[in-house]
Amino acid sequence: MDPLIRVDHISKSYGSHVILKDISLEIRQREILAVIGPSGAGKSTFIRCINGLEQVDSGSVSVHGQTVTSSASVAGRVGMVFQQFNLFPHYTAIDNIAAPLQTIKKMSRSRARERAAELLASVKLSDKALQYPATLSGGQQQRLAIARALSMSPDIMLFDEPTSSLDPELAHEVFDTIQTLAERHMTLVLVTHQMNMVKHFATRVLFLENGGIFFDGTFEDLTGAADPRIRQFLKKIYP
Amino acid sequence: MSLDFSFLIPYIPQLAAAARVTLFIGVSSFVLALAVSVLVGVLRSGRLPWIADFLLGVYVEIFRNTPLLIQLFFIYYGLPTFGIVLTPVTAAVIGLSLNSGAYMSEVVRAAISSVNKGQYEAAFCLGYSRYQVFLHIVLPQAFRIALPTLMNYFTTMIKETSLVSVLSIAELTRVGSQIYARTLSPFEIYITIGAVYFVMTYSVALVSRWIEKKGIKWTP
Repeated sequence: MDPLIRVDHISKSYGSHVILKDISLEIRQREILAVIGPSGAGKSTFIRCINGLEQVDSGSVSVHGQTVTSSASVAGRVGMVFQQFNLFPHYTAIDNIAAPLQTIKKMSRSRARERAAELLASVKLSDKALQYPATLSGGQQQRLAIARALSMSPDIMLFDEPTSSLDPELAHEVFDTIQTLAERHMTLVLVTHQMNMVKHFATRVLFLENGGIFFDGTFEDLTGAADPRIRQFLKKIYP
Repeated sequence: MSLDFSFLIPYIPQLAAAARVTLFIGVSSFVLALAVSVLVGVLRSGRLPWIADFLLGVYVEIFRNTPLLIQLFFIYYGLPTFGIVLTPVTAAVIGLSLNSGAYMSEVVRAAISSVNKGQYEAAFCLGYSRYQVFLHIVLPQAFRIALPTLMNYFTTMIKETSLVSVLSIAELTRVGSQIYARTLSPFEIYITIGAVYFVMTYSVALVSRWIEKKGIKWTP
């Protein structure tokens, strides 16, 4: 089976600051890849290269064999969930999903709202349909953001620290939503600091350090690794 | 000293007509200024060829850094040199709208640039085009940010219409001065004129507050 995503020797710098150094990787369908590593290791930049929000300096990323040149080139096929949700504040919950369907997929208003209502139900937000994002809790906002990304029927979902700005009990709601995606065998890439999430979901763990892949394997292999740098990192966030 | 406003009664029709002129110049100048400011503000927020950006910048800086009175004199008395002859009211409306348009375009530009970068990213990831992001996501949010300041310029503009009395337009200030010359009761007449301006500008402030509270349901 061809890989869903092929990352081929990508490098990325901001000025003289090197973020990613010659990273190559394949992500297969149904894989749930957790990306971990210390702050500034390039985790976010890595997934932002996958959906074209960042342009690589060299190398290439392809989704389904098609080279990623900009966010437009993979829009809709690669769903993105942000740490800060990035919901549209001027749209109600249901319109956060319905309006993009109307604008991008050219759906009729009634059809878009129907589809949006289904998605709201799937993230247990049906009763919040007419509320504006500012009136929702952080957990509800993030679930809405996930439903909005799903509305475009993506092949893969990228999560950039989806629970980092949430209280633990709200993070749990988002955890449950990701669980339903995992049960549907969606391909997921999760950048996270939360090792319980890595342990629970990840079929594969990527440890990035100083812009390079330091470890690529299963969670069990990671926790059993003898390398002092991995052990030190794990001790801090997964005591 | 005794105050007596009764002598003003015969002048009510004249004052009402003058108030209408003031209101007409104020409202039409504001509508035009709004159009100018959105056009200039939006253009200067985008990627323009340097020459276009430079020329718009020259417009904004000239109108912000010279007195409105000089701009009005130039438009009314100066432009005929180039064969452009305008009626006093047209000259007044053009002067006021270009002047306020320059200030307001900077408000529009600042509002657009204050929309969070994450909004663009989320929209691009969903598949919005640049144009669609701007129209559906950025402009409505920028409008909310800019609205209170723009409405403030509206009240300022209504007050600035008093300057166009120098172009011999029969608006409130000029008519007030004429009545003063005839009656020699400056206190009563100017307090009356001031009250009419106050009613106009305060109404604008009330409408603005109402739009912010009731007209826009979402909060950032």
